[in-house]
Amino acid sequence: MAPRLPEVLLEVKAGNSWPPRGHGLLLHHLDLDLLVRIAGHTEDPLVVDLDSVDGLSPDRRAAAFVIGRLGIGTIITRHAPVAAAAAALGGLALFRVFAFDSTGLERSFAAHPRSPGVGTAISPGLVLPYLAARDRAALSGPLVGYGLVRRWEEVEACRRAGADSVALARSGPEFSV
Amino acid sequence: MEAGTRTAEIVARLREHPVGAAIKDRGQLERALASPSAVLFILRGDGLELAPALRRIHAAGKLAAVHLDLVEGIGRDHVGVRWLIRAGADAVISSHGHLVRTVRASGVVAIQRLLLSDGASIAAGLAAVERAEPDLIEVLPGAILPHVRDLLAERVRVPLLAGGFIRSAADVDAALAAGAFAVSTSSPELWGRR
Repeated sequence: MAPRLPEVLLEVKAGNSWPPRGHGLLLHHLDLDLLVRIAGHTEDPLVVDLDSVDGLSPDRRAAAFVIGRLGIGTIITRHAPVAAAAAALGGLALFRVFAFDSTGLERSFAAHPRSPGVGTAISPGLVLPYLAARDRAALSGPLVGYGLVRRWEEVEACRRAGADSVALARSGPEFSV
Repeated sequence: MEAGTRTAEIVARLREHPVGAAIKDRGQLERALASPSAVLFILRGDGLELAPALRRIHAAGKLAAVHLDLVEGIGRDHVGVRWLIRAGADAVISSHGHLVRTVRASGVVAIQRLLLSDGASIAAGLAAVERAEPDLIEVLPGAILPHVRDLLAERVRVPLLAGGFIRSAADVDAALAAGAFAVSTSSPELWGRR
């Protein structure tokens, strides 16, 4: 059974301080060694942006390693076959869709595998409140807002716009949890 | 006309009519030609057959910026840039720094797209902008510019356009208040807004 997503995911990348316990974490832009260490030292729900991990190729074997060996239930990737493979392994895959303008959203979402167990991570997450309702409704759930959300009021706006979960970047003094 | 003069002209036109018309099909082109928008942004279409449309845009007293990465049929290389310029493009838009440098060297206005998806993309995009030295930058999605202006402020030294998901007058006003000198939108009801 695919894992449930927390309503808020704290973003963690190389160089960040260790986040407070008890929150879902979205790991990105870190290396494979650090990913393995984090996976072995926390019980908090983890999500990995597979495409941004140095030392991992964003392919089916990497998805199998992250889900099967590291026990991380949810991955984000912009590679449709990898997303489908992760879902087939029992994980939750979030296909990364880039929404820079309506044309770009349409093209990016066209590649979505639309298979069971594959949701959507829309980037930047901040754009969610600005999408037309029909565009938001077309996105396959669960829906995660990922990228450039730095304030709690932005998290709330994304939630109101339909996000099941929102990734919160943690740099800067106002992002303390 | 010198590149600097061309940039000054397109900036002046957009300051006078700060909502540029983003064109995706023939119907939008017809509406834009009849609208007050002074600069049309061509986002789709057959890049090899743009010359007649660009002549009509010029005949209507307007300027045309063509998106090299999105129009079909054109190579994303210096020959493709040369083709669009010969067809009459006043400005060429691309996300790719090496193409932006080619456009600049060709004497037309070079607009570099800065795609805002996350912190890493902004850092990489700003570094690419600093290498390419475009005449103008278009940030996308422009609707979120008010939320991220602080991340760009120190490093953006050329006029800023905002495009993408600008669907209301409030979005236009917010982008302009956040530092954009103009916006582009495919919403025709906004094309006349000053």
